[in-house]
Amino acid sequence: MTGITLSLTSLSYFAFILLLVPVYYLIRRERQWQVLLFASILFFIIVSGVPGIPWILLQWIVTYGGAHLMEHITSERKKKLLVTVLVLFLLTELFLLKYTKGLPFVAPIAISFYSLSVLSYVLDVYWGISAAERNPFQYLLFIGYFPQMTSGPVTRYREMKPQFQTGASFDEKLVKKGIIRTLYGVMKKCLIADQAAVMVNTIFGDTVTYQGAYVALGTMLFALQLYTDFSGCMDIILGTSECFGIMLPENFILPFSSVTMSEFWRRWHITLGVWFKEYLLYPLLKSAPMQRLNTVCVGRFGRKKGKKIPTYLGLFVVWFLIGYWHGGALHYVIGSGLLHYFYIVSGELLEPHVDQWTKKIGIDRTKGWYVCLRRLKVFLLVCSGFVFFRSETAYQGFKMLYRMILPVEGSFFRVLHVTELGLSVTGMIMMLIGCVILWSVSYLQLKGIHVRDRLLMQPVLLRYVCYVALALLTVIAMVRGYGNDVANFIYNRF
Amino acid sequence: MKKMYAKGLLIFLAVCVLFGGILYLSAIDPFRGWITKITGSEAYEQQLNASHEVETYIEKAKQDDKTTKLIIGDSVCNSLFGELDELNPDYSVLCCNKGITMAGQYILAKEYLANHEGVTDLYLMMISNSLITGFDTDFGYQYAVMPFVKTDKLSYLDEETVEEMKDLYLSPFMTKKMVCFVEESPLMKKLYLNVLKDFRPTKLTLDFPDVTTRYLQKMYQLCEAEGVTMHFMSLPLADSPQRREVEAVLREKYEASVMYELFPDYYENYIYYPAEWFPDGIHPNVERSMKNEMVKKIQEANDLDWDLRLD
Amino acid sequence: MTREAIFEKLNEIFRDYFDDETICLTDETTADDIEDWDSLEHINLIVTIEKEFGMKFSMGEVTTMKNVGAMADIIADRI
Repeated sequence: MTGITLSLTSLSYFAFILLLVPVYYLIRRERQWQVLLFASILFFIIVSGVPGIPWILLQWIVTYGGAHLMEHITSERKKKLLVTVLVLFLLTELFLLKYTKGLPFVAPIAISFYSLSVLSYVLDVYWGISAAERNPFQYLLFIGYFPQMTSGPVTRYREMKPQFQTGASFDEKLVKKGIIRTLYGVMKKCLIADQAAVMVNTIFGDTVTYQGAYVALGTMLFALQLYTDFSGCMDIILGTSECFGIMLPENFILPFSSVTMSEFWRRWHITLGVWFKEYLLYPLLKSAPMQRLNTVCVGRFGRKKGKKIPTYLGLFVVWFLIGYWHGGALHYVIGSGLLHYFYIVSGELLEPHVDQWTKKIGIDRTKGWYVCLRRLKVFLLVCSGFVFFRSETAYQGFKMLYRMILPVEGSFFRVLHVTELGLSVTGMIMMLIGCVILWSVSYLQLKGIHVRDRLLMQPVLLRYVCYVALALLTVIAMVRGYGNDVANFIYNRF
Repeated sequence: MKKMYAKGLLIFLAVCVLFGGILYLSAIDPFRGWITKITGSEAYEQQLNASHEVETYIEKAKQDDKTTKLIIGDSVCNSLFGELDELNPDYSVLCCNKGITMAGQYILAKEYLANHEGVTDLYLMMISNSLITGFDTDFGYQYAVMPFVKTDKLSYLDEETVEEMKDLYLSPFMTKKMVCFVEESPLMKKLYLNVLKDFRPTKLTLDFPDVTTRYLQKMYQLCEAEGVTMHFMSLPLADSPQRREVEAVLREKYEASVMYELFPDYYENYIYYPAEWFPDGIHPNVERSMKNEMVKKIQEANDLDWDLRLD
Repeated sequence: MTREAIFEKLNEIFRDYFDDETICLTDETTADDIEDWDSLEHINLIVTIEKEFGMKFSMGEVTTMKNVGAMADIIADRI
């Protein structure tokens, strides 16, 4: 919490932003991006350390030069060769640093995220969507813009460049909204995610004791933990970026309100899904080999069925890689990849049949209760993926699912001693308070209400009470998570 | 923008006031319990009060129990000699732990000598881990600052030492009022100790800090002035290659320090035992009979003339 | 080919592809307006249009075209 870590929920990060904002708005608009670049370099050095610098600089120089070269080449063949070399270079660097064990290199922070952004830039220039950036330092800012340098979102050059170029004049409302969103994110992470994590770690840390319904409980709590942690981080990232008038793309839009798995991935880690769709799925499906396969399949099975085969094949490749991207291990490939692929494809194939069947027996699929059932279905399917995502290995994931349904003792059903999972009753109450706030805000958002705008319209006294309450709650949440090391020192007699 | 910052400052002040209120109440019942739970400060509660432990020893040193021999040292010393206190009415066993530093051992010695007549011997026994422990941000505040301040024994220490402590722990936190507040409020304890660690992290090095050499000397001088024979001895160690390496380094440093002139035999009489007997690498976890054997060995190695009853 | 003619042909292609005679395209029509037009169908639809008009969209155009109007503009340019 204290100490100069610049972690997203630390005082040093808030101090960093608080000091940067006035400097940013005192500078002329055209030069504001330079303040952000300077801050980003500082951020990178503090958070990632000096060993990470050469790798990001390498990507910067190679792709900056490569993009310019590509624009000057007229021969299509040579252009294709160059872009292939650049893409392979980026993928190799990412693979060696992030997904290969035992090498003496230290991966810079957020390399999995910014590598995708750089890849998208290279491909955008190749496809003529963006012109190669003239200013190498503005391009460097795009790669290393500090709010993104922990967990994304994955950005595209065409969304960021105009914003960096024009800068922003001070907009009090926007900055206020940014701060409110940041506090909300810290609250989500510290009050909900960090408390849930205690119980999740207990359950997943002892798969012998915790079987049957405990696995279900642990997985659902993990869903809560992951969502509030990741989306909380996003709130902090997008909120602090808003303070500079720079709007980053959303990564989460009420994912658990989805009624199909396909929809879920349009609401969860959105920028990752969009990247894989635009830069992998589409080029893959449009490629000549895939089109030839399409013609063959359509010829053999008719258009309706035939076109599905190459589509689902392409999707398989994409989902395999999405899973792999998460951590390069089998349990990620399954939990964040192939399992979702299976659900999405099944969903697509079953959809017309379910539609027919419900019409037959007179069920209105738009009715509230049915929609709730569909959302519950999505939640449970997503949780099944999380069992693998959270486990150490694919084997542990399978074992946990197996032991959930067929525990060694008793059946799935058992009394859940929730107070004995490492989290105190007070901790659970705090987590519940956080959840009530989360669900209230989400409910309002589901109804189409822009919560922050509404809050800013309230009478002064109510507004200030809300701000103070949110800030105090956030501070208490941060204090809760602070300094568990010293406690250990007290316990360890010497 | 100025207006926004002004409003922001207002909110920040409001939050500070409210949090300050919470902090104040965290030392007062019945709020203490709730606030401790809400802020996750359970681990810092009073039951685990390190300071109280040390204060008890300082109080004991004051009591004139008609003993004429004092045994002090670290927690390893305590594990060997602590139980012998009841069996030996002529010995006072006040073994503490390394957290009080050599300054703390000095305070105990001084307090004992000031309140006892006819003292003949003072036995100071510790392993080298305790010799390299100075004032740090892990244990120092709770085991040294708090008991010294509460028992008003800071006056026993040199100006330079008190300045060193103030520099590390900050003067305001060395006042009696603040020390008592930290003791009463688990939240304050949590915040202070963790912020201290974050901003003033201390690292343990293989060297003897000033507090060790200074107060060993002072203890020697004090004993000389009072006509007391001081014995400074080492204790059983877990035998391992790393331990041997560390001791070799420290021995060299010891022999170059002023401590060697006063107590040249400290490193001569090291006794190693099988590492399995020391599950945490420091304290011997064996039967009382084996511990008694260790005591006898110490007596032999140091050529001591003590009449300790061991059972 | 005039823009109206392009639109007429596009209507035909869309109706046939999605098996829905009620489809009536305008400049502002997007994938949100047509039920089965999702990311999985997008490429196949594009390829079908390419075949029918005897032209090719670039990858950049495929991902950045905002609506049917933009699509028609590109087609008009290409043929």
